[in-house]
Amino acid sequence: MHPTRDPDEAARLVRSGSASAFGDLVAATTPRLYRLAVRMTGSPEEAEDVLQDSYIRAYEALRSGAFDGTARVESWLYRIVTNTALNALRSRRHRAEGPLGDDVGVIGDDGLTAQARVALRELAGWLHELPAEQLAAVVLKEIEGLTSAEAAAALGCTEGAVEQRLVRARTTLRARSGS
Amino acid sequence: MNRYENIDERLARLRRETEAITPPAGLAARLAARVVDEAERSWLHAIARYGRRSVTVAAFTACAAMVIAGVSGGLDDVAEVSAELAP
Repeated sequence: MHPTRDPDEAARLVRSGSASAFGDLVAATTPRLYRLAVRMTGSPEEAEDVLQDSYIRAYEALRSGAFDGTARVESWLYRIVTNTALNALRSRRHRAEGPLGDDVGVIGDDGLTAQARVALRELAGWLHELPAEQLAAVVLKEIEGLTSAEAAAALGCTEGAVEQRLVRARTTLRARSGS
Repeated sequence: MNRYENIDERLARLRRETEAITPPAGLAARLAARVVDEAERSWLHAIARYGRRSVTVAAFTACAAMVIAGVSGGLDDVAEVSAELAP
């Protein structure tokens, strides 16, 4: 039997009790979710932790029936990763740690090209003073390229709130670049 | 950001330059294995915890039953003796 690669089909199989189909779901969704988590946290190592926590939550929700399959599983996972990354950012700030950009790429094969590593360090350093919610709005809308409606769905807020966060973020970034 | 680049241009450039981020080799397989392992372990822990609690409750129930049986038996004995001694 060929392993399924369609995320929704894999999710349906996991819900009906197949643990092996979860591997297909992870394989199909990891590339996009990993890039999102790296862009949000600025760190490949932290992104891996975010993904692991997100997939644990997803697996438990699928097995317990908490995810009923009416939404696209990829959108649902995208929302989980966004929230888990936001929590990681908030907890890093609570510990008063700085951006992780300076550590980017120190550890071997992290899937980053030299250019991506430099860009990620720049992005993390540039955005790290923004409140976590504003940083998330900037990453989702301007870096990930989501529409306001998609970003609002991922963040669990209204489109108006996304736009407001973007305006505030731009004001802060503009003031900093002018100073 | 260089002096000729505005916010939109900088965001667009950083978007392009981070587009090529891909997961490290084998990450998906490692994650899937870890997650399933973690979930199964938490199931086993839940079962073990539930089992330990059940054994404690069963032992307590057995003790209580023995005490109640002893007390009721004792009362029955007293009643029987009283009945025998009655004229």
